[in-house]
Amino acid sequence: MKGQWKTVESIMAGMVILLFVALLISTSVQFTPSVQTQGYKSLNILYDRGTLRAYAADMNTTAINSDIDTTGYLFGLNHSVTICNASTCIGSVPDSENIWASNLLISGDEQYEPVEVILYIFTE
Amino acid sequence: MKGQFFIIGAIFICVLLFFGISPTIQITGSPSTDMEMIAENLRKEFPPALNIGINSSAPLMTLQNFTTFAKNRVLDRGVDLDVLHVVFIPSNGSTNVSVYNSMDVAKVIGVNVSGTHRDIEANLDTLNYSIFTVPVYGFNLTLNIDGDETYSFLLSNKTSIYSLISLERGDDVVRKELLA
Repeated sequence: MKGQWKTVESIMAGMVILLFVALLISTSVQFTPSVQTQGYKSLNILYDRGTLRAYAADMNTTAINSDIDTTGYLFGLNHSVTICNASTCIGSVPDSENIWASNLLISGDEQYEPVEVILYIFTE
Repeated sequence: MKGQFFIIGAIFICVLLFFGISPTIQITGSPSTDMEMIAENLRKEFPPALNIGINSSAPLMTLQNFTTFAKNRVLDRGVDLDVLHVVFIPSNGSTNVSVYNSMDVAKVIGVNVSGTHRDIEANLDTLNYSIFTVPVYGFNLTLNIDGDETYSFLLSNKTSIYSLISLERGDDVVRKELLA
């Protein structure tokens, strides 16, 4: 009888640990945003400011790339910008093994001049 | 007594774990995909495209052209974009309801404007329209697309747009609606 009680109590002890660990893990898993998502957030900040539309219409990759740093999402990450219209692209794909791409489509500024703005984020 | 020590020991281990394990296990990833981002981008950009078209007196052509541009660009990333636009353009006490279907199946759109109902047929990559008389200030709108109804109140003197955006890549499908 005593041995059976010890068995029950040891099982209870094990369940206490397992339940606690399960609770700890289930409440502590969090998604950190992927690099691509951070890229989209950066572009969307510039889109909402209105600056992305104007720069994209001018095919000004330098201005967009510079403004990306003001969004605060890509601190410490390398990035470059390419803008493509229906026939050509300005800017180049970085030469890196690790590249993430985030893109936005813009219809134009005051005139219809559709472009795709591609933000490349990469590691050296 | 020994068994009770097991339980006390378990509680002690739990306390050690609580202070020893990092409270946050981080997993790099995202609950949303790039298709969600594309869909949201288009949901925000179709109205400006229509506005640019209005300013150049070619609202529907501009919208069609931008939709085609978007389809081609996202296809490069293996994404199939299908869009259905319903555009309401005011005109002298009436509204011109135009349907542009760039989905992969023909559609019949049920349009009810303040009690007047018509079905507008929209074949693939075509534009079709119907003109409704509307009250001076605004009108109640009901759209029926594949059995799903959308209700709204639109101003009679304003150009409005409803879009159904669908993106597919393999088994992944993202759908968004726009009414502006």
